[in-house]
Parts: sequence; structure tokens; C-alpha cells
Amino acid sequence: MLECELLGFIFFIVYIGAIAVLFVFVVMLIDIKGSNLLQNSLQYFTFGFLISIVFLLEIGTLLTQSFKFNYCSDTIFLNQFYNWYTKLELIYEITVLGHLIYSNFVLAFLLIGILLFLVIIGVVALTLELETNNSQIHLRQLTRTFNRAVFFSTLK
Amino acid sequence: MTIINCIKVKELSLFLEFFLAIALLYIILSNLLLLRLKNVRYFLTQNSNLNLSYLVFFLSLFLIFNNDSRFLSYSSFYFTVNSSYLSFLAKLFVILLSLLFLTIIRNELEFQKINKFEYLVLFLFSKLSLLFLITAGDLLLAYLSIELQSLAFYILTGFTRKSNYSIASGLKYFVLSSLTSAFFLFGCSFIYGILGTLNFQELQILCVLKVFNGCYTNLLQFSLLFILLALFFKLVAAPFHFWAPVVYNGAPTISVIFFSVMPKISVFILMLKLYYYSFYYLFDFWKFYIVLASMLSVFVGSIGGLEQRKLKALLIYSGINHIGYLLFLLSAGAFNGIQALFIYLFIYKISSICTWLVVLLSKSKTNKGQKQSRDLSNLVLLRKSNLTLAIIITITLFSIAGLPPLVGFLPKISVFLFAMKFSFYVPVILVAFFSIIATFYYLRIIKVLFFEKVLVGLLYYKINQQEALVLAIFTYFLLFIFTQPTLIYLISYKAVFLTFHV
Repeated sequence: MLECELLGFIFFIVYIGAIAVLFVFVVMLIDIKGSNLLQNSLQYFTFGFLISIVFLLEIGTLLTQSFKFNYCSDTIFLNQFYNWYTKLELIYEITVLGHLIYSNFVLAFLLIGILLFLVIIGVVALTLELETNNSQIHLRQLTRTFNRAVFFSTLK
Repeated sequence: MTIINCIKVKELSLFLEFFLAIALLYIILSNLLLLRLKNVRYFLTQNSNLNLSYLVFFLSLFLIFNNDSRFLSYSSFYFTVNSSYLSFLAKLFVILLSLLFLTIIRNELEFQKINKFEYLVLFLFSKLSLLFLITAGDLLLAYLSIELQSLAFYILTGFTRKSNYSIASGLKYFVLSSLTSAFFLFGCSFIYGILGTLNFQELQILCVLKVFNGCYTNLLQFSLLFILLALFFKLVAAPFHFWAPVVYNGAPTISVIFFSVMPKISVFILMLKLYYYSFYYLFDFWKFYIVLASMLSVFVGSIGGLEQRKLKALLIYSGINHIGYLLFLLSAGAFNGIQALFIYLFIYKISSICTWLVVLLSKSKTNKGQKQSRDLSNLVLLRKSNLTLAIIITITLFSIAGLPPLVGFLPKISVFLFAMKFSFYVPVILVAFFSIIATFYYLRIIKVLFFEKVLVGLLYYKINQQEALVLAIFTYFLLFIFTQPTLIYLISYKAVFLTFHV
């Protein structure tokens, strides 16, 4: 390794922070109707299925290649075997960061989670428009004739 | 066996906070599931949510009383959490106050037509942040809990979306408060850069070494000043008070009561931890700024309140005035000063809740559209329509002004006595002078209540039984604690002694 795992983290943070927000803006700008979303999904199904199988195979090969075979797993030395070299020298920065986050900064980590949850709730509370039971339909009012002045309607 | 004991004492020191967070999630989940199962747009669940929050707070009281670590000072979670007797008492006080607060807001939620369940959820979130701030033993955790608290407060400020004032004040609060949070982080980053840690215990040891060696002292003072500025903003102390009347005027009244009463104690505990525990060796430096801020806030609180005709603005300026006295006690730099600070905080909180409650309860029937800011002249002829309420206002205002037969006198005289003891002679004379000026506007409210010759007054709504009970409890407290104040002094002495003895 080049010992610059932090660069990868910075890329993650930049992309999640900035580019994902851009995506959110784009989604907000496009006026998507929920009903149109599932209409043409069947014709993309085969292609999407093939792509997802390819991805699954890739992940499978990566997983099988990543974990090394432990030579001592069948012998009596299973519990005594330590590769001290890997334990002492090759602790990557990612591992150190993970250890720190889940030991020293575990409360801060949890608190950040609560904070982000609060932000979501606050945004929903401030922007969600609760539709009042408005039974006024403009078309019906404009096209009302003398004969259809009295009608039945169903209440929710 | 030893492992089990270790877990029992140390890792359960945050059991209360975990319980509150999980209960909060369940309240949200129950509301959302109710909406989903019934397949409706909205549902009037405010009453059941209130009762659920009562249940949560009663259970958390139970948890506090069964916490074994309250008499010892323990650090857990890799020294990021300090629990002591002081934090135990502060948590107890916060939760008892929030129980009473729930009783207060029940009627007002209905009156203001706040039907969304998020209001109480945000209230619980800010409670959680207060509890975290009380136990925080780390600047990072303190920053995050302050941020959680202020995020909940922005939303509570702008909660009534129909009114433009509320939205505008929420936005103003957001902009200003996030700026000061940036100041706080700036100071923290400098401290981390110099000393290499954010933990209060480690900071104390390292600060001594650095100060005696004489290196980086200027930079350390600079960063401490930045943190102090941010905390002054959160406490509404004087050079940073301009946002408070603007923001609080637009916010819903129940939110304002919450902002002005609840978060003070936890911020003061953070200040004690940071300035008395970690950076006590720079006492000569930060004392100057705290005295300056306290003098300015006493000045602003007494002069600024003179020309206010709105009851809400008057109470906000009175709050600024009291923060001045509290900071004055903080600047004494001594054991007895901290004890007096907590007594002052306790009594001030109770009397201010009492006044705010009176403001809530004197709802006039005639001008119904004017929900938000009530004028001072609305209280004319309250003595005819509700004599008991008028007498209660008089008692609480006399107590806040610090007149002798009431409990407000004790902490106020202790401010002057300590200042004389630590030879702050010029500040004492100035503070005494301004406190006389501040007495004027309290007396003016009483004059409006009792001595105004007007024939036409307003009609008021009938007071609810529960609210009347809360008001009566507070008023009796203000009247009779003066005869036997020993208990408060003993408890506060014990708390401060167990926390800060060396």
C-alpha cells in the first residue's frame, strides 16, 4: 500500500458531502410523479438483472480472493498461530481509524447519528405540507349547470 | 465477577441517556406507524404523546435514583464521560423541571393549535442534549451536544410555519448560532493543536505543564477566549445578546420559556468543567472577560428593559440582567462562589418559570388574534378579574427584584458579599447601582397591576387546574424557602465539594 488511506477517506467525504447533495438538488428539481416511476420497469428488467448478476459475480470473486487460507485451521496449532509481523507492522490507517471510532469516540459517533436523525425530523416537520380536507374542485364549480346543482359525494 | 462489577459501575453511567434516546425513537416510530396503519394524512396524537413523555420522564427519574455511581466521580467511555454528584443533581433538576414544563405546555399546545407530534419529539431531543452536556467530559462531546441542542432550538423557534415572524426568527437564530458554533470549534481546534487532546482531565495536567514552561500561553488564551465568546452567546450574556429579543419575539411562547429557562444550567456546568477544572491556571486571564461580560449584561439588562412595553421583551431583558449576576459569581474563582452560583441558578430558574407561567396564563379573551406578544397594559385591572394571579405576579416580581421577605434576596445579597470578599469594589458599586435601576421596571409592572386608574380592562380565560397547581407550588416555594434555606445550601455545598475538591 502507499500508506495514504486518508486520501481515500477524503474522497469519500467530498463525494458524499458535495456530490450527493447535488443529486438531492437534482431530484428536488425534477418533478417526479410516484405513479410514473414503476410504469416502464418491466422492459428494463432483463438488462438490469444481467448487470446485477455481473456485479454479484465480481463481489463474489473479490470476497473469495480477499480472505487468505489459514494453514493452521485443521491442526492443533490453531490457537497458537499468530503472524506477529502482520499484527505489529501492518496495521493500516483504516484499521486504526476504525478502532478509534469504536473505542475512544464511540459516544461522539452515536451522538452524530442522533444529530443527523434530528435534522431529518426537523426538515420534515418544517416543510411537510399537511393537506387540509379541501373539497373544492374548480372544474366542477365552473362546469356546474342548473340540473347538476345537487349531487352526492363520498366523504373519507 | 470483577468484569461484571466494572460494567455495572462504569458503562451504565449513561444508562439514562440511552434510555431517553431509545424511548424517543419509539415515540417517533409509534406515531409514524399509526399514520401508516390508519392510512391517513395526519392524526391528533398530541395528548397521547404528552402522556408518553410524562411516562418517559418518570421512568428516567427512576433510573436516576437507582444510579449507583452518583456519589462517586467516575469517568467512563475512555474518559469522555464524567459523572459526579453535581451531574446527578443537575440531571435530576432538569428532568423535574421538564415534568413541570410538560404540565405547563399542555393547554398552550391546544390553544396555539400545534398538532404535529414533532414538537414534543424535538423537546425530548433537546432534553437529551442537555443531559449529554451535563455529563460530557470531552470538548468534542460537549460541542456535539451543544449542536444537537441548538439544532432542536432552531426548529422549535420556527415551528409555527403559518406565521412569518416565527420563520424569520428561526432563520436568524440559525445563522447567528451556527456562526458562534464555528467560533467554539475554532477554539477547540486551537486547543487540540497546542495540547493534543480534548479531554478535560488531560487538559488540566497538560495546561499546568505548558503554562509553567511558558510556551504557547498566548495561543491558549486566544482559543479560550473564542470558546468563552461562543458560550456567552449561548447564555445570552451582554455583548452577544442582540439576537435574543429579536428571536424570542417571533418564536412561540412555550418555546421561549423553554429556551430561557432550561439550557442555562448545563452550559454553566460546561463552563465550570472547562474553566475551573481544566484551565484554572489561566484564571487571571479569563476572569477579566467574565467580569466584563457580567458588568455589561447587568448594564444592558437594566437599561434595555426600561423602554420595553412588551411583557416578553421585558422578561428577556430581566434574564440578561440575571445572567450578569451569575457570571459575576463565576468570576469569583472560589469554592463558595460556585456554591452561590448554583443556589442563584436554582432560585432564578424557579422564579423565572413562575413569571413566564403568569404570562402564559393571562390570556385575554377580547383580542384573540394577538397570540404572540402581549403588551404590558394588558395586565391592567387583573386585580379585579383575578386577584390571586395578580398577587402571585407581585410575589414573583418582588422575588426576582430581590426584596428581603422573599427568597430572591438571598442569592442577590450573596453576589454582593462575595464580590466584597474578593475585593471587586468598583464592580460591586456599579452592579448595585444598576440593580436599583432594574428594580424600577419590576415595580412598573406592579404599578400597572394595582395602581392604574382605568375603568375598562380585559377579560381572561379560566385557568386550568394543573397549571394552577404548578403555579401554586412555585409560589409557595418562593414564599417559604426564605424561612428555611439551609437545605439548598447544604445540597449545593455537597455537590460542589464532591466535584471540585482536590
